[in-house]
Amino acid sequence: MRIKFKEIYDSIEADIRGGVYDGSHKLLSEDEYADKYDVSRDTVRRATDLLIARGYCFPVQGKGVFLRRHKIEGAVNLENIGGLTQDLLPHEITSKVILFTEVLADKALAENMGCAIGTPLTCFERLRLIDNEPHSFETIYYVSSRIKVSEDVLNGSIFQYIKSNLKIVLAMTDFVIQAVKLTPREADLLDLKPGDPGLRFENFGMDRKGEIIHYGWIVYHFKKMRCLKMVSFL
Amino acid sequence: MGTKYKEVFTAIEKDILDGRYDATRKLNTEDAYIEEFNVSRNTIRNAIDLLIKRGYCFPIQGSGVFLRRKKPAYGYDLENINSLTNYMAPLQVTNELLEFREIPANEEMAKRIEVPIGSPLYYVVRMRYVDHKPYVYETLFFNKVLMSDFAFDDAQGSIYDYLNNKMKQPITFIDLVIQVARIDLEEARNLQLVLGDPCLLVDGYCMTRTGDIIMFYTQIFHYENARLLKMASYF
Repeated sequence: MRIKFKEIYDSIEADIRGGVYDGSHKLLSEDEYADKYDVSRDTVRRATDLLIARGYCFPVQGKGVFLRRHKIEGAVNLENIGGLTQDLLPHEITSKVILFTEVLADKALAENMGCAIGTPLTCFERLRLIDNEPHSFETIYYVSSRIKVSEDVLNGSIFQYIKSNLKIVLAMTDFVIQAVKLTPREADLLDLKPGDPGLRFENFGMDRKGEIIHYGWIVYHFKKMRCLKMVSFL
Repeated sequence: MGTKYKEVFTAIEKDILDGRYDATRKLNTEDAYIEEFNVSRNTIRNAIDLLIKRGYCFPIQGSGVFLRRKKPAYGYDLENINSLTNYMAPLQVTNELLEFREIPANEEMAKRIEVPIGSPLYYVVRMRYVDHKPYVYETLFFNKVLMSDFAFDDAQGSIYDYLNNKMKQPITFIDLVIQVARIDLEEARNLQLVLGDPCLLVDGYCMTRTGDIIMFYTQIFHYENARLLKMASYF
């Protein structure tokens, strides 16, 4: 049951992003979805409730569920910040591994990752390119004993690998969003000048128990990244 | 029922922000809340579900509902963007009103607020300080047609509180576009920064339940003093 409503949520979400409802700006009725997916109206309602909570749409009493302005050209929805790939289609996204190494947790890292000082961590840095132009620079740490990542995994989706191969499910991420001045190294990689602005996302990825799976930060090219957040007080 | 759970949500939210659960990092049990608020289990569950959705806490099966990581100081949570004044408490938020007048919508504003060109707008510019440090410089445009009487005094306090208490239709949705830019001279001067320094630039569209835009704003956040938080859940 729980899985089912999530599947339906994913399917309708993909339709919304794919532009299926762009003509009407309106979702189908509960009955139509119940028929389409062969589930109860309750299950459909749970899925649409989540779509509403995530800001994709809003209900108007007696009239149905309408789409919000979820598409602003080139903006990535914060609900899908992991899924950069989807929001930026049809552009070509590639990655370049800059660094892949093991380090010992210093005080700051230990604090952010909830581990002891000196714990071995796997660290990697990755430059992400969109249509061959630098888009963002990513630094991520894993506790080595928990998440074993090899270098070839880094060229694809790490989240997918951790989920399918290690069976660890990312349940929550806390993002701290800031404007920063680029360091000389970041500027060099992003084809900008030191001191230029950068959009920095520090992220804490956690499993269902709130334990850190990964910690790191992404610095986006300030001219190439805009985010969308849709707040709902329903 | 509809509003009861919102009341419980607001009360527990306030307790979380005030640090009542800081020692345990854990909410009370459903039973304890039933007794405290004298409401049904369902009402408590709805309130806790909303707290989870808004990123305050998360459930661990069989163990209870736990608080999420402590928020960094001066962080502004995007799920709770409706009142800086309430969110930052006990840190003091002070506002300095720089402009307040009525203007006709130009082409750009007409498009953003979805009104005809020339429609009357209230134009407000404010500088806001958190704990006496420059935090955000904001420019707001209100659709006058949707506003009842809005006065100089109202523009000085919490505008969300004003809109939610005095308007027939409160703000139900806010669409935000977040990016980073270089600041201009006027903003730099007010934020006590230098021309060309980075800033977080947030455009906000505030809408009623029926999707009418009450207000459009642009906020320029101080790059060292302010940060935005997004608590994502994938369950």
